[in-house]
Amino acid sequence: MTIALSAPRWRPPVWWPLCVMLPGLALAFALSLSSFSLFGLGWMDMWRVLIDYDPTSIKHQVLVSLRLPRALVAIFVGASLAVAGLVMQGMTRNELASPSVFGVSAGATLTFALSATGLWPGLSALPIVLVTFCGAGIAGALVFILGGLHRAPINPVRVVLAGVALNFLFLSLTRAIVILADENAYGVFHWLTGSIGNATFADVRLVIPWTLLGLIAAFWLSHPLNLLRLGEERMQNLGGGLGRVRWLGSLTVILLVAAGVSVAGPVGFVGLMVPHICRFIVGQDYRLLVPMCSLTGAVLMLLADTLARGLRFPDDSPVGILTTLLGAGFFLVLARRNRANVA
Amino acid sequence: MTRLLCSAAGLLATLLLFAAWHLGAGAVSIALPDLWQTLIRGHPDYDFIFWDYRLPRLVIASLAGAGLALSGLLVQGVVRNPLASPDILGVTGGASLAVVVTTLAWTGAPVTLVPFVALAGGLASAGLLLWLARSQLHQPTSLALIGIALAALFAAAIDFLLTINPLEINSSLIWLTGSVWGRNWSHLPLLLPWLAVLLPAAVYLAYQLDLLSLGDDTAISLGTRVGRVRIAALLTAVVLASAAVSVCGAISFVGLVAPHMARFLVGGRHVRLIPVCLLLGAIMLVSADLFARILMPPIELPAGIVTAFIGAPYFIFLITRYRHW
Amino acid sequence: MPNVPAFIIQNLTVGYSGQPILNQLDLTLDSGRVTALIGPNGCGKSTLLKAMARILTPASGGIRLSDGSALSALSARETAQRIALLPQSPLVPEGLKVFDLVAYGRSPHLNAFGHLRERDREAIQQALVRTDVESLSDLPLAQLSGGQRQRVWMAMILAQQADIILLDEPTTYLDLAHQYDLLDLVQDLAADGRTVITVLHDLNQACRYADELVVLKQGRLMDQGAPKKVMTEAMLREVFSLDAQILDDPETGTPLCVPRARGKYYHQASWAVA
Repeated sequence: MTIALSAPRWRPPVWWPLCVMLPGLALAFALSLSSFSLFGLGWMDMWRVLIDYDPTSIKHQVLVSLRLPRALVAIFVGASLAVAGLVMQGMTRNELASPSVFGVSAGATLTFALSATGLWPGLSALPIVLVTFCGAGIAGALVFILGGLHRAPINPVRVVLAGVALNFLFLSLTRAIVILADENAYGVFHWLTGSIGNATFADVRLVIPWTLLGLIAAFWLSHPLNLLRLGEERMQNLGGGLGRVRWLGSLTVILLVAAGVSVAGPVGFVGLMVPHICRFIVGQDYRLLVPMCSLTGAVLMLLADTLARGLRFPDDSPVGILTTLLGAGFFLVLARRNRANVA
Repeated sequence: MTRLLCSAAGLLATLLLFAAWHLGAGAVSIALPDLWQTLIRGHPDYDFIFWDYRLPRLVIASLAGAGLALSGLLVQGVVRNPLASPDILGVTGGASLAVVVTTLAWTGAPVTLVPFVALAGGLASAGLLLWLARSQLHQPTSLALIGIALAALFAAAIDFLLTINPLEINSSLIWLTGSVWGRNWSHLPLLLPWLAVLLPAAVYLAYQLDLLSLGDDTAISLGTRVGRVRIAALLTAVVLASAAVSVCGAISFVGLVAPHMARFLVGGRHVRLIPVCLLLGAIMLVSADLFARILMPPIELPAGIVTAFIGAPYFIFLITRYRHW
Repeated sequence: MPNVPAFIIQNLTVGYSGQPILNQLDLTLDSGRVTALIGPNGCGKSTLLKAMARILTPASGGIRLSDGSALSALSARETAQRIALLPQSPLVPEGLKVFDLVAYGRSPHLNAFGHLRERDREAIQQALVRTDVESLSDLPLAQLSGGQRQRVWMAMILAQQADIILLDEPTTYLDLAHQYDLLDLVQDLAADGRTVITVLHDLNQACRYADELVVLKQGRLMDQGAPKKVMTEAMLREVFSLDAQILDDPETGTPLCVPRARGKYYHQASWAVA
């Protein structure tokens, strides 16, 4: 609370960006539903579906059974990955932290590939979210231990290097698995980039509960994460339970990444970019950052997917290549800016 | 000196062992006496498979492995960072990107052009890295970080290009992971001349790199022309790595791990490190190619997957041990 | 052989990336003596040292050596044969042995492959004995204590057999006993006829060991001369913004700088009451 010394002047409330983002989300949602279609979908068609759904119309069919689940999956996957990145950055106080940089996504992808190719029959019998959860969990634990996160002080570059190596390892293993399963390289490729082109309502039902659970947990964590900004020692000094926050935070990250990867594959760098963009807009308060990141992540994912669809129209392209290209550039900028923190 | 000789002899024996195994194993298995006979006098059953298929592959793998290892040694010497290597610094990625762009843009491009394109790409990416990190050259970790980001960017660009041109994916992907599959004598001229020219250059630079390891100020005050040595060594390293990449694709971690093992064996002086490094690199790639072939027959994995499988855990071990943060 | 100049610095402007640290400096430093460069942080002491070692290239002006040759005209190797520098915190490569490090000091005299001849080995041996690290010569550098390590670096400088030795705060990170050991060695070197130019932070040590002090502030020469002449209360106040009184060092008779009391001893201090 600031005390106004001069005449009180109206200022927008701190949550104004959320009010901008909500209509933004609706707009991106509508754009994603209607654009780049062979059937010439328009805004009017969407309106018709709402007021007067006609099961015999091909346009209505396409909108409801192909476009709608795809857009919904984009929203939830985008929100999951963005908030996962935010919580990781908060917990490690490392601005380069994110599921794709630290290899957590790659771990989930590896177990996903193991399960889906049927190379390990026992694994294929388990629910997919459980499988990716284990993969993300193992990868997360490895980075945590190898990067020396359990010992303060943390060197940011060290964790990144550990994550890069893990990423490479998991990626190679995943490639080997898919090559063993079928020798079609194009298949491998689609596995490794992350795509939501074939999303169905089953995927939507799969991702929604876990994402919501994860987002609620992240919101609950926002106050402890605010305290953690002051440093581990100071936080314990202020009465925050560091161990509990770390456990819950790790679980949240793993859950969110697992949910995202199990329906979309490793969509790269959303978790790195979105928290930075949001910090730039709403500042450092995690109570605002969590909802802001969910919305921005969803919007970014919707737009990236729409663009990916248009890239080689009428053929579809995986959304992951766009976010990865964008995110790798972003990573480069951060790496150059990071110089002061590394010294 | 005894340590160097013992290490070199042991490594040479290991290399020969793997080489024999490499030549003998496969879909047609050749017993050791038959191998010998084929080599000395010729053997009606095995002549073709030995001379035209397995031996060139063995030679290419050893040379590429040696080149990558030497390149890694030079890069680590220049940036004074044991975590650096041509692949971590994005040089391999840059070379790969250049090749992918060329194959996509010019479908009828002659194969002989590929090495030069890879070379140009490697040099350009090294230049880009140095320019981006120009104010942080003395800070090894920042350099590594920027290199990693560059590598990620190149990888993303390659993914992007392959997605919008899906027809080329099959060959490109195998190539990008790094493989020695189907390499024959025609690939030798793409590799051997570079090694023949650059190995003496590396030996010439060895002592200067020793001095460079004391820090710029000390090295200058000892009469080293630091800038010149740095550029020469980096150029040598980039050309070596690009040549290897142009023949075998982006084989990862050989250039990172081999110099470390060499340092562990014979200490920190570059003159001694060079021969040991060459042998280690050759052993790594030959054995990786061997296991890539025999682990799950009849499927052949790309050798790069095997090197990553060995190299990544070792790299992580190095990170946990590296104390100069 | 007093009054033969080791360095004649004229109109020297030098700095980092266009930002001058030293501005049009004129200075002559005598050979065969210990000269201490003193001044507050950021005054350009280390920059001057680096310019003299040819690590930094001057933006304008020049440095000439005793025989009148310009420093910039010498090759890197010739410079290294005549001038040795010990930087402030040199890197310690992993797995390097003491002997190997000292041997690197010979590099300006060696061929490109670093082959050691008989007289190089002699020089290394002498340097090891002189700095009392002969018994350590087979140990890895990483195993040594800070004091031992600094002596090994000094051995490297000695093995270089340069007439001019530049030291950048050689006593940093050493405990007090080792600081004085090192400074004794420095004094011995000057007694042998070598020129030692060193940056020192401790003013009392500078007064005790240096034949001449060079005082810098903000890249400008403030004063130069024997410690007794230079070390005055007025200089300390002007250059270091320090209130201090100057006593005679009871051991050596050189100036001893004692800062004025502040805080809780303020009222006990005789000058404050008076």
